[in-house]
Amino acid sequence: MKFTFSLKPENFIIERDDERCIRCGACVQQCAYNAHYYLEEKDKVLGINHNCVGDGRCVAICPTNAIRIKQAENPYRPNYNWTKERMMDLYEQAENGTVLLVGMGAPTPHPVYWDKIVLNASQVTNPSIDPLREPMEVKTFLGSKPDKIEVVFDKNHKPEIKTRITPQLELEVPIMFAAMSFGAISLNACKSLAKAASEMGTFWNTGEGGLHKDLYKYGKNTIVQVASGRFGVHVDYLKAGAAVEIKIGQGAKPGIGGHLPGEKVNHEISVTRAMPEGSDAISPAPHHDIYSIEDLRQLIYSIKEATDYEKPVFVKISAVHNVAAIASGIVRAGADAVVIDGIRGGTGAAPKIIRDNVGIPIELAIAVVDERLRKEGIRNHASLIAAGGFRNSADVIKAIALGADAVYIGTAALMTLGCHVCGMCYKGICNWGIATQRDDLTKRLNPEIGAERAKNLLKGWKHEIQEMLGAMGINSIGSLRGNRLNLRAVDIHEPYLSILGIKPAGA
Amino acid sequence: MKKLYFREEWCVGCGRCEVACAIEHSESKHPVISYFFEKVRQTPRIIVERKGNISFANTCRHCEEPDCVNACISGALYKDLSGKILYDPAKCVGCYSCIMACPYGAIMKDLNRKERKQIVKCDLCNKREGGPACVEACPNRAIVFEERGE
Amino acid sequence: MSYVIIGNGPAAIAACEGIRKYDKDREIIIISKEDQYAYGRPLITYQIAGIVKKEDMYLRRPEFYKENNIKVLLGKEAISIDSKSKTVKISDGSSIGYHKLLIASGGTPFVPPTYKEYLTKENVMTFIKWADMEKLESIIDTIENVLIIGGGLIGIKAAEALVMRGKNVYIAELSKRVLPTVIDDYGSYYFHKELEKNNVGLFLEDTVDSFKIKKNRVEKAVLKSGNTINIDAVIIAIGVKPEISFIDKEIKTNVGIIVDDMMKTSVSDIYAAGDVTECYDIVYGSKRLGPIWVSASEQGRIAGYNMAGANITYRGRLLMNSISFMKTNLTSYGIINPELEYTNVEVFEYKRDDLDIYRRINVVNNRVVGAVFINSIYRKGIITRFMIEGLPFDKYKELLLSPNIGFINFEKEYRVKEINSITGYKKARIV
Repeated sequence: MKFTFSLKPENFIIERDDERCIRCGACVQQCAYNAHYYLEEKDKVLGINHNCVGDGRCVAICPTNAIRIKQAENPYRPNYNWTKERMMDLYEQAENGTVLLVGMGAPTPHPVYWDKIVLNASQVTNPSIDPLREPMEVKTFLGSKPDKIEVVFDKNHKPEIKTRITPQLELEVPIMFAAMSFGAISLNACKSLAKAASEMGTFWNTGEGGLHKDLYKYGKNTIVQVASGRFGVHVDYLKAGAAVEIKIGQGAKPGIGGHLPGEKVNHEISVTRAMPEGSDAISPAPHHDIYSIEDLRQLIYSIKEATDYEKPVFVKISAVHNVAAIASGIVRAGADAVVIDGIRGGTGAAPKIIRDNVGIPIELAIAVVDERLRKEGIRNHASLIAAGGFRNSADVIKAIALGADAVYIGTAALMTLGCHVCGMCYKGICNWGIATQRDDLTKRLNPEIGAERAKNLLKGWKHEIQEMLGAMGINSIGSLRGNRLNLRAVDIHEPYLSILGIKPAGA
Repeated sequence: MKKLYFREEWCVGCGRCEVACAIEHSESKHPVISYFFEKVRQTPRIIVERKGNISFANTCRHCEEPDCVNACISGALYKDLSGKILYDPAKCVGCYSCIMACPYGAIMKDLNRKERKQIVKCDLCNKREGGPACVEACPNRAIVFEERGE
Repeated sequence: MSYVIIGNGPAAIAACEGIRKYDKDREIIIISKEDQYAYGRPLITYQIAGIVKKEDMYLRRPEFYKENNIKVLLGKEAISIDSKSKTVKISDGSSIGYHKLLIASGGTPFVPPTYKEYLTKENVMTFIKWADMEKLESIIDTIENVLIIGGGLIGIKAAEALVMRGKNVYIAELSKRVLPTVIDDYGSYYFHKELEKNNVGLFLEDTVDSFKIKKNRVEKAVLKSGNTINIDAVIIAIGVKPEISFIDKEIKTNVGIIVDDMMKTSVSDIYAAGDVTECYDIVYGSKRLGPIWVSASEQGRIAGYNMAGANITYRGRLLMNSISFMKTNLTSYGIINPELEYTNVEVFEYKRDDLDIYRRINVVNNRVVGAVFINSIYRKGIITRFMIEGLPFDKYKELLLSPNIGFINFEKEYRVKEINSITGYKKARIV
């Protein structure tokens, strides 16, 4: 332990019940931040509070539950304006003069409208449905839908659809795993999600890190991303996936590109991303070939051309002020789905100031985009996928009722793999083997287990969605989409009520 | 016969298997009581080896032709009908011939038994419901208990 | 016609188990000179010391014999073998026909002619058989000072038993150190130290010149060095030699019975196993005596397999011994003093006299031929792989001299295969 002078106080206090500690050393061995230390001469295990990031690895691994991690109180005079966190940030910047980096989604107290929106249920006047006894459809198709369908009958009077249907993704459950690159997360984390998605009949997203050779076998359930850095993008990659997603922005860092430090770019990543080992992977803030909707249209059609018009092409943007107009442009540019990522969306690394201050909540974005596309009569031209901090199946069903077709989950998915949202992803040291490339740490995530757990989450959420639909007396998720009458607001006021397009509870 | 197999690619080196082993073979089967308050603190029958990024657990292979049984001068070690190599502590005199002979280094001195020299070795948690304790304690399925071959 | 086994030690028991693996039916007859079911002779030490009860000394449960259809003729001695009529003549005058015969008669204590007459005295005995144990037990409470002639494995274990019973022990050993066959010069230092700590009087390069007898008891011993000690009992522990007095000239013998790698003797249908044989030694690369427990069991088992019709060859014996005296423990393998056999011997040592830890590896042509470990037994059995498989020493030098020998230093492919072995370590090859 280095003995240095710092103005930053500790964030966590490691409490060890010495009567329970059996000196097995598991905590010492497991903490990659070296927050535990075994003092052999005294046969004592000691905590080094300063090193603790509160990721709960030691708490989980301790066989006798001897460890408690407590948040350190603010040692300074309480001040509403100058909270401990703000002071710490200041001290940090005073020491280093850098942009403060963070991982995961914004912890800031922007209102979470999901918590203020409640769902309807059937009582007397219409029957509720028991999904265990009656069919309950949650299957969702993503892609552009035709304005009308022309059906012709052949000689034998057999109907045939004459209209050309553009490629669609078929989802058994309207939840997909959000874009997280191999680089930001470990290969084992990618494998877990890919396996879970393929077993559950849904999709995972490569992020901008390319597709590792071990993951091609999950291609049928993979959405491959094309971002501004174009890492690992080649025709086989585009063809390997079920859909292609053009990433313009990310909820955690709208207007900012990605940055994977060179020390994380190991052999496997360099091969996957087609870039030199050890060099920084920098995604520019914009796509330098896209300065307009027309430019975007060119890229969309280049990709469609390259993939023989067999794959739907998605465009992902962060939810920003003008999101409805931008989404409209994206649909008109030919995208098969628009992905909107809200302010609470996660990240492997982003400037704190951006993450916490740029963008708008996803609830408002879904509502305005859906509304705008409907008004313009182009809502059927593209699916709407929402992302950014979905925490449970109620958030998902509320998003669908607001107008989304499906959602992406990122942070929640990582939690199934062991993530404890410590927010240290940008450090490259993840005790859970997720946001790291260190061999000793990545091996802690066995994709066999990861896939099972991620799959279990989807199974649970799917079942809950079916229960909620049944309670509303609806037997198909399609009937709920954009059905805002099933939502009511509690403690939301104008103008947000009219933006969300929902009535206050009681009305 | 079901045996323990070790997957070093998933071993995180935490040593929970060793702890689980000691607990399972204690009188109280309680993690804290067995460590602090029992007459004899149990020696784990499973060993985690660690070096750099590599770690793995290993223990008795329950050999078809066990060197340890051949080496035992007291008849304490024996192969039971299911093929497990077990030992009878009442007969063991602590001559350590089995430790000398075991090519897996899987038999340990019972370090904490003061009144009498003894050995300990894996008994595949002979009578435990749900199979060996180490398998259940492993956070990453680096130990599996299964039938392979034969 | 039965399987007949002459002898009733570990080789005999293992042979029974070996036979029963392939032949569940045919009767097995064991001819046992002693009137006890097979027991662990080394346990005599522990019985005298009070660590193990008499009834726990038997190698197998009493039901074992019935379950496996084994008839044991207790207190009967084989007198001669007639390989033509396939019969064994035994001491009660009868003859037993055999289908296959195993000679596992083991060793018999070697007592020099000059001491032989004293064995009839009530306080002089060897330290090998059940009867020795009972003889010692009958006088143990009346004796104070005991002289042990011979500081080999048996002598040291006898000394341990007596020290634990609070006796005053002397050892007279002809060579310049104790345990001459299983330990090197430097290693014996730790034993000398431990013996001294336990007040054992050690007379090295010395032996008994004459005894003074009084009332059928030895009461004084005069040593060659001139020392005279008052003693209440004498244990003769000079060594053992193969018990081959009864065997036919047809069977090829040297000091012991020569056997091939299937434990066959030169006469068909007659096998031999255990301390009585001269069998192939892996490290020496030749056939020789090697009276150790592990090998006796192994040979017995292999002989059993082959007697029952399997075709299984023995990989050969690896000499190894584990012996402790009070707190000092020795584990040694293979050739201890290779300088007697080879010229290009390299010796690697690790010494910690303060902790009483000593490790020594003998290497010839980059191959481990022997090793000595004192108070450092942790996982040392892994070293047998080096001698059996001939793994290169230079690659694993650190590993072998380290206290925590393990698989982690082996190459990945090897260690993954070995620690996940389905069958376990193979000691036999199937032909």
